[in-house]
Amino acid sequence: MATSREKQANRRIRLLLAVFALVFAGLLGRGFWIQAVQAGRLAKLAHGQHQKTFRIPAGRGTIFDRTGVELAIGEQMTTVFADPQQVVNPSAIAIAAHKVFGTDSNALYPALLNKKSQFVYLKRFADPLEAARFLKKGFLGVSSYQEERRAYPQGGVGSQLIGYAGIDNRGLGGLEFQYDHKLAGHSGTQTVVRDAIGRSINVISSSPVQEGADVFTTIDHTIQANAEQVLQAAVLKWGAKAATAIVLDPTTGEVLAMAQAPGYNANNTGNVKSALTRNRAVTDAYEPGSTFKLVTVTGALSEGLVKPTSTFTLPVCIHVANYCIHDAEQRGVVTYSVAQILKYSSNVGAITLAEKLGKSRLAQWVDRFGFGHLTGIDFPGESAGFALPVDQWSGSTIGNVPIGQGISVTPIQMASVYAAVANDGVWVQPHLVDRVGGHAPFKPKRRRIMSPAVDREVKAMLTGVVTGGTGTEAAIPGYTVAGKTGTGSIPGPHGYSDSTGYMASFVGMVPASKPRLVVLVVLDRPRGAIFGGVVAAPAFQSIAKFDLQYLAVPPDAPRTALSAG
Amino acid sequence: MSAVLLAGVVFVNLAVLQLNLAVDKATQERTQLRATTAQLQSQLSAALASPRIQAQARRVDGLVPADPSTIGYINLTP
Repeated sequence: MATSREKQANRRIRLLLAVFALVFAGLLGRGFWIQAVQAGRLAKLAHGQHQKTFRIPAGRGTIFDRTGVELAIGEQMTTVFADPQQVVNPSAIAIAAHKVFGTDSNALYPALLNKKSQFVYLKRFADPLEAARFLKKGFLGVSSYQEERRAYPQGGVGSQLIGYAGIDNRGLGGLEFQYDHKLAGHSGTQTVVRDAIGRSINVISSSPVQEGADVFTTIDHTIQANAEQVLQAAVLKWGAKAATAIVLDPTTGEVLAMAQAPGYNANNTGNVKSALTRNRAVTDAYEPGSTFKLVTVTGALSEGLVKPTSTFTLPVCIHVANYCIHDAEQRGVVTYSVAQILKYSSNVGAITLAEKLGKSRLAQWVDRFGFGHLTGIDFPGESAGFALPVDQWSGSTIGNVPIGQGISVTPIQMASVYAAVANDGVWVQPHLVDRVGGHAPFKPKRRRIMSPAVDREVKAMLTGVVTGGTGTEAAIPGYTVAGKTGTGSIPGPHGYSDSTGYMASFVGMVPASKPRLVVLVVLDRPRGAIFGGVVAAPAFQSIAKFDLQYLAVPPDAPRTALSAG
Repeated sequence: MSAVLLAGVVFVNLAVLQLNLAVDKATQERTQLRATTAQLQSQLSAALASPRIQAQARRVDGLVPADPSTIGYINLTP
């Protein structure tokens, strides 16, 4: 028989056993709760605490000019931000941000107090050294990340051409937009395990970054900068609304410069009007005036209707539909050869040739030269210009189109057409980018517009324009120059009777004996003087003279240099 | 034997940890260096910009671009 003492001991043991069983059951239950019921949530929490997946942004490719100078480059900046939910000293952060970054502390302080928010910029795109100085202060709830910002080291040089990238580093205009998919690359990711103080101690997984490809343009920044300076001076001198210039290599179709005035600083696009960012050389069409007579004359020569020496007796004005069209300068009845029609830019002569050609063949030549079609230049928003289909021509169209009115063209179309004349009659597709990354250089399309024999005749006639015609201001001592002046009336709401001004232009090639360059200059609404030969030809001369010296092109007519000197 | 094996495993793990920390530090340095390089490249390009140099030559040294018509070329062909 168990004594009462033994019974008491057994009771205590059972009680202890029950307590242990209860505790064990509790632990088992808790273990089940943690391991089974709450497993997902807790695993996620732990995962978030010691693992982090970073996006590794791809560096945006650089845009180079043809000499290897950077036109657009990515700069690594540091963006500093705060999490108001973790911030413990908002006033100190606001004051420090003002001191280091110049951030408005009065605006920042209330934002840091807003505990509903988890993200406030202290400074976006901060200088890395300044950011490091700020982060060294060790404020709780403050962190940073690397961000790339687009910089344009040449400032305003080629700004409309290069375009710009937005705050998210995506191309929004110009070549930045055209080649955005190549320049941007593809970002990578990296998942790391971090220790208690945030150092990564293991890389779990990663996908590689594909850096953006570099874009190598055909632009020469020196030629571009000079062309812009010349245009700015011309705009100032003639009170023009704007000006455009193109410098082309006629044999390759490479655009060496595509300049505009006025320009803007590409590093500060925030306050620039969108109209100013437009690359008028590609996107804007204008009525060219007499530079278009090239098409009429070439058509008549190619069809075998006339020769450069064929003569015509030209009346004071020529009747077309209800209009009587005069030459730009008053004159009596004259007898001009075809070469003289071009040399003196006779409207009456050009319309006479066009009537001989007939509207349908003239329309075919307009089409053959590529007017009304895109050149296919690698720039966004190219305009095809406007060439009225022959079945829609009115009675007066045969009096307008041959002299470059009633038809609109883009500067790049006109420059590429004169480049075809410079290139023995073969049109080469103009282009701005030679190659992207390590890819093969761009191969432009080519097509013959006129026979080599007609081309020689046209070139000789265009030389006459500069030696003794309307384009004498374009002459360059030491070199032969071939080109054509143009003064296109800008029609108002009711046509040419209420014209809003003129587009003055000159397009030519140098040296005419073996052209290395084609240069086009267009001034929009010059004041004081309106003629292309007066307003645009001197700008052409300044641009071409500089470029010939810069490219060390030897003179082909040294005697003219001596006589000029 | 087991103790030696265990010590070896711990040693290897520590070494891997230290290497990972070094890799992390090197990655940070690389990022910083890339940022500095890009910034210096940008500054260099800006400094080499033709308009800036020409303006400075004109302003500081009083230089003007040579007149192209004053340049002589020698024709070496017979």
